Amino acid sequence: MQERVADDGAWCGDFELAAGELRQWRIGPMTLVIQRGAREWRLRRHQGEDPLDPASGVRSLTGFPDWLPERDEERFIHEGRDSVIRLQPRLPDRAVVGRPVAPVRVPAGGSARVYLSVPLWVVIGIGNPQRVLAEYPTFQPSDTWFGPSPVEGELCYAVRTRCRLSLEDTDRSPARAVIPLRIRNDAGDVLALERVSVPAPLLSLYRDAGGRFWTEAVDMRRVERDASAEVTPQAGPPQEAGEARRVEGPRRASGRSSVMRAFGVLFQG
Amino acid sequence: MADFWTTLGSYLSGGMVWGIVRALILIALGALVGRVLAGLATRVFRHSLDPHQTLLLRRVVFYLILGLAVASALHQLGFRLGVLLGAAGVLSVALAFASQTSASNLISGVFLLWERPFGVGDVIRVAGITGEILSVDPLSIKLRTFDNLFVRIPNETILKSEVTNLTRFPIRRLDMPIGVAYRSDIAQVREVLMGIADRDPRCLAEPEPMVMVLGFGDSAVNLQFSVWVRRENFLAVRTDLHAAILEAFAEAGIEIPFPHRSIQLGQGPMLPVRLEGGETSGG
Repeated sequence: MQERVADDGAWCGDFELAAGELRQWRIGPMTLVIQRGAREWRLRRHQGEDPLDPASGVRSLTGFPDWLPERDEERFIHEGRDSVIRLQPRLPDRAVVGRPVAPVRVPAGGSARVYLSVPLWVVIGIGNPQRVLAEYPTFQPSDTWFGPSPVEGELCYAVRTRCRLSLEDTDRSPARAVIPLRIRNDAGDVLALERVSVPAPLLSLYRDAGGRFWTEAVDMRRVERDASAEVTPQAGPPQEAGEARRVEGPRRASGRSSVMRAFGVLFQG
Repeated sequence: MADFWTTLGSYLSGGMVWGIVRALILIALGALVGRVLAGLATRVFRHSLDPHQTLLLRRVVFYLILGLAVASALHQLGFRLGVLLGAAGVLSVALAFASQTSASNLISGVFLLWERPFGVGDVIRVAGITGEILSVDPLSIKLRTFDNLFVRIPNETILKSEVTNLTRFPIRRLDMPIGVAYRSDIAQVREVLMGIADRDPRCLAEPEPMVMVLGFGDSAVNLQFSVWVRRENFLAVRTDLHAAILEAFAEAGIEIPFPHRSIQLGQGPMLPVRLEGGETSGG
């Protein structure tokens, strides 16, 4: 059913479309087809089931594929002057909650470096200055609740992939970004790391020479014997990314560090 | 004719008309200033107050200023407020008997304001009516039901009744009772249901979905499938999950039984039953 694209070219950037031209983007699990009409941009998309789909690329089409139904089409009116469409990656618009493969315990005074892979959003825009047409997740993560009870907490996204202790084991996909976390336990008791919440809207997005997306490393320092931590995004790309360049700033500005609920245990509703 | 002009002149020179004009101007000014100050107060406190409190503040400021203006106007006309208040005291006893219901609603309104079980914009269920609150007034609250009807409920009714606020918390639990045939594999049923919740991103990953066995019914094993959702998604998810359950059960060969009824006639003649094939039998 799904078409596979052999082209491994980068999916993000500026793309010029001739009048009437159709182009298809494969961005991991998401397929996006855009046509430049005389007075409108026509857009259809499909989300596959595998969040770690490695497909990536762009190619021209002669018509909309049959498996992208017209009823789901979105149309954006334009004045006919803009021929360039821009696709930009972005981090999720809510905090993301991840779990280690197996519960990890960080002893008092100890630290751990873990990696969390999160799905990217795609912002589609035209013109200069850019006018945003739409924004979609490449893979819609599940909603989840992060807090001590169903009354107190925050609505977040649950990432299906797990936190990994090793970068080699971390899920790789053209539609995901890796968040390196340094968790330091300065409280007097053992930290059972069952779930960790990362404030993705406060982070910037970087792209390394190999095209992989990263965020800055996030320091999470637990001081009190509770679920809170002092969360500090480090300036610049993480050391694992080498020479990476910043492609997108944070969705929300914040101070250098903030104390927030970062660790959690399961509760039953 | 000359008498008329003389009488009119004496009224005008006596200042009665000018007094009335001044009183009217005072009331008009009071209404204007009250409206301006109420708007100003709303703007100043718009970030710290919710819509319900804003509405209340607006009304308190407006009526306070208008009341002062009316008192000044009465004073301008020569009324002595002390005497008026004394007369009002006597009158209030009579009014109290005549307006017991209104007073009860008014006092109930004060208690509701103090307790704050809901505010403007919340969706509540009270006395079998579910709707969005349009306003909370001194005597009643106004609701808009989902079929777009306007309902006025007296505050006294609210205070005496059980009120459910459906939008107090950001997430809600959706409980779906399901019956499966006695020959069903409960572990398989559980797996199918959890798979449905897992595939729908609107179902919260945590708190985790649950499948509970409630007991043995007349014709089915009674289960409850519970998932947590954002309150905005509640109705859509309820509809979609029921459809998804039917489809997934049909695919997995899990039967949802329905009650069977046997009819037995006591002393009467046998009931003839005709099948589609045309055969006839007694039964």
